[in-house]
Amino acid sequence: MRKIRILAAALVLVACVGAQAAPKASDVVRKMDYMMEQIGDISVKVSLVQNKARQGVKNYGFLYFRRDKTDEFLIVATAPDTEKGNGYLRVGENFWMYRQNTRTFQHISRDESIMGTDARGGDFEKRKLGDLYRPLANAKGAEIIEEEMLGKKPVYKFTLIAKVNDVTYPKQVYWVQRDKYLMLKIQSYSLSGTLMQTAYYPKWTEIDGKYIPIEHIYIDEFEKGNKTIVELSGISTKKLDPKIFTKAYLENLSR
Amino acid sequence: MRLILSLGFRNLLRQKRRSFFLGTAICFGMMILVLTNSFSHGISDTLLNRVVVYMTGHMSLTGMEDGSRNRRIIRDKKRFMDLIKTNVRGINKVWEAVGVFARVIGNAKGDNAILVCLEVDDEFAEYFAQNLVAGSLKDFQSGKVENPVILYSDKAKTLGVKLGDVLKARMQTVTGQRQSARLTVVAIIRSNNLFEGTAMFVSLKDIKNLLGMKPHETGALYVSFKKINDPAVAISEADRLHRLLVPGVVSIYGEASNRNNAAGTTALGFSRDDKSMDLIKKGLAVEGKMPDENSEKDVLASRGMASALRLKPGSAVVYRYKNKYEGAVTENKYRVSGVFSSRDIPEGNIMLLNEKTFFKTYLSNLPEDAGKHAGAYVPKKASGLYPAFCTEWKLLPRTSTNDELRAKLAEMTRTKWKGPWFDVGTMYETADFILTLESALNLVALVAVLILFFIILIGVLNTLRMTIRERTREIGTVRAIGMQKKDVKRLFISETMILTAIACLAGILLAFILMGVMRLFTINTDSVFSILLVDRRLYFLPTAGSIISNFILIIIMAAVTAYFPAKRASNLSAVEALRHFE
Repeated sequence: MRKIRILAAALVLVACVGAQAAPKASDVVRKMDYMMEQIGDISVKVSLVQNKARQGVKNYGFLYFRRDKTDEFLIVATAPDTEKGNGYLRVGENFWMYRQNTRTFQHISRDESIMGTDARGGDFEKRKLGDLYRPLANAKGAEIIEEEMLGKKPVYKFTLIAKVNDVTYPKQVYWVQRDKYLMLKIQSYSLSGTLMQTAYYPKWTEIDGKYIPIEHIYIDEFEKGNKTIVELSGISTKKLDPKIFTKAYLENLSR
Repeated sequence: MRLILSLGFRNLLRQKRRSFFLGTAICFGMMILVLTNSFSHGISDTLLNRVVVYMTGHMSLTGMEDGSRNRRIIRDKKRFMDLIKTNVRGINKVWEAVGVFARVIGNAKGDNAILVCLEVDDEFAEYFAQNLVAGSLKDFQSGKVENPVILYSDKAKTLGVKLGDVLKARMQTVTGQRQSARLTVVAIIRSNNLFEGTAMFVSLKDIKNLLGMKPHETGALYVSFKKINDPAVAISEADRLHRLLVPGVVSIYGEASNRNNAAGTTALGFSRDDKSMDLIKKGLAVEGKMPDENSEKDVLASRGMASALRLKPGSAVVYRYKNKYEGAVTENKYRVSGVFSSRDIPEGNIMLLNEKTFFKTYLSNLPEDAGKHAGAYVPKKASGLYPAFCTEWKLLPRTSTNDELRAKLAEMTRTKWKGPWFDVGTMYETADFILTLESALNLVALVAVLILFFIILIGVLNTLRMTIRERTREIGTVRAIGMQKKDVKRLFISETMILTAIACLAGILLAFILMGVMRLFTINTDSVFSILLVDRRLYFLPTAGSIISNFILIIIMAAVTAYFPAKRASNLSAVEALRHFE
């Protein structure tokens, strides 16, 4: 009986220790992918402030609609005036750029810059983090994950290495909030291993049980002094009308 | 006729002052015409043969992937280099063109630049020696310096760097990944025009390394011809190369295995366009499922392969094949989504992959030629499924203008083809705006000079009328002693033509002298005007063709102008003419 008690105590202890141990980095990535998947449909107002060294500040405004189920998104510019009405529409593998002044649609590739910003068409594609990256492992093949504090928040820190060669950054280091699996900071490295960008996601909001980062800060580590701040507002995760992802809708929206 | 010419010449000498002033006007007009034509030819020569040829070659073969004009890559450089060298005539040089837009950070500030690959040859060494400001080619070629770079003095000034300084550069690899590099300044050279200034020279090996290219890969192949001033040469050779670039169906031969079973197997890709999918659906009887369009793992196994390896839908299969280069072996893991049988495909071990899955491995790891292996299945054109199989590449149609070129590239982007695209182009379509510019400049110059000549020829007309009036009695005398009407007419016309010819020749000579004098002055400017300069001097390119055609044009104009007064003079009655008194 005593042995059984000791065994039971040992099992409880192991279970407790197990409960405290950090999860595998791949599990965290899976959870992050799952959370992103839950968003499904989203419409949001985006404000983007690009501060470039020696060039001053540029303000951009966009309306962004996304529908994951059918892999569609629509972006239409609301600011600056020179870009107002221009837009991008992606439906499956078709990706169009719309120019308001000529009222024409042009097929573009995923490499094209979105309205002269650092964002590219490919950045908006629905691709799972887990399909693109694998966690960095130690010499024994175990995934490396650390627990640390980012400011006052407890986080998991791990490194992801690209599995495919068409992602923007071949290596990224993630700081993910432990309790809710929200990414708070990402450092992105070039192919040669130089730190190129640090991204912060300091503000998240919960809408209909789905977490969405409403402020993104991108620091250009390559060219010091460049910074981009993205703020989201007017977020809705309600199901979007399929008519939104059509050329006619984009044209109407641009008027 | 000889007598007429001799008389005409003598008459011109008789009226020295009048001939001199009239001749001076014609001479001035011809000089302006030669100067403007030579200058516009010079501009287009600078742009085409000194700028564009280095940017695009006289002719180019470009490979593009992912339907993007920015993803320029030719996987099997040697194959296409050999094809060009063997079949294209009149080649001066074939070179690899690898370049990338980069953001470069110096000591003072950042700027945009184009990193251009460089393989030092005699031509560059001479150019380098002529324009060297600081540094040496030895450091560029030694291999001891980290990513050595040669840049132009204007760019060095903008970036605030000098010899030995290190620049940071940010760019994209050929697959779109961010890349960064430290570039060491080993030489600074002087730019001769505005276009040169943005280029920075990096060794071919270094730039390929930075862009993630393997040694057997390249961005594009550029060709320059020995005879560079004739667009027709480049265009006809480009058409010829285009005809030779007919792609065949591509197959990979390797070994497929499943647990302890292994067998030599041919892998083929099938296209996902509607026509091909119809053929596949009609031509194949599939047990299980067709591979999903976006799947990178699902494959179809032939009945023979399934029985040899004991496969059924859902089985895992490992596929290995030897690469064409670097002696490597590629291994991929797939999942059998279905087992097929077909009347159009012979019995054997055959694996069908969708376009995306097939090109993912084929392009990254070029296989050995499947035709070398006895057991490989290489589809014949007679096969009903032949049009559905993936070809080595798709060839873009030849185009003749920049607008057509842009339209075909836009069409390429619109398609969903996952394989490579090839395009054969010449600088006369990539830079057709330069030819248009030259034509426009020539037209403007011609119209301006024709207006000038119109005014001059009114002078000729007036002078001739005066001459005829003054020489009416003389006309009567020569008619009285037997000169025919037509000879009188010829005499006056020949006088005008002799005067025009001599004046034009003098104008050509003066134009050459003036061009020589203007070439003596150095113009130091960084403005847009610098595109008109070569070695910081005005550049003129007189061509025999344009000078001769202008000469003939002016002679004809003068003859036509002289014809009517001369005819009037010849129609004078000898008696009336002798009676004429003023």
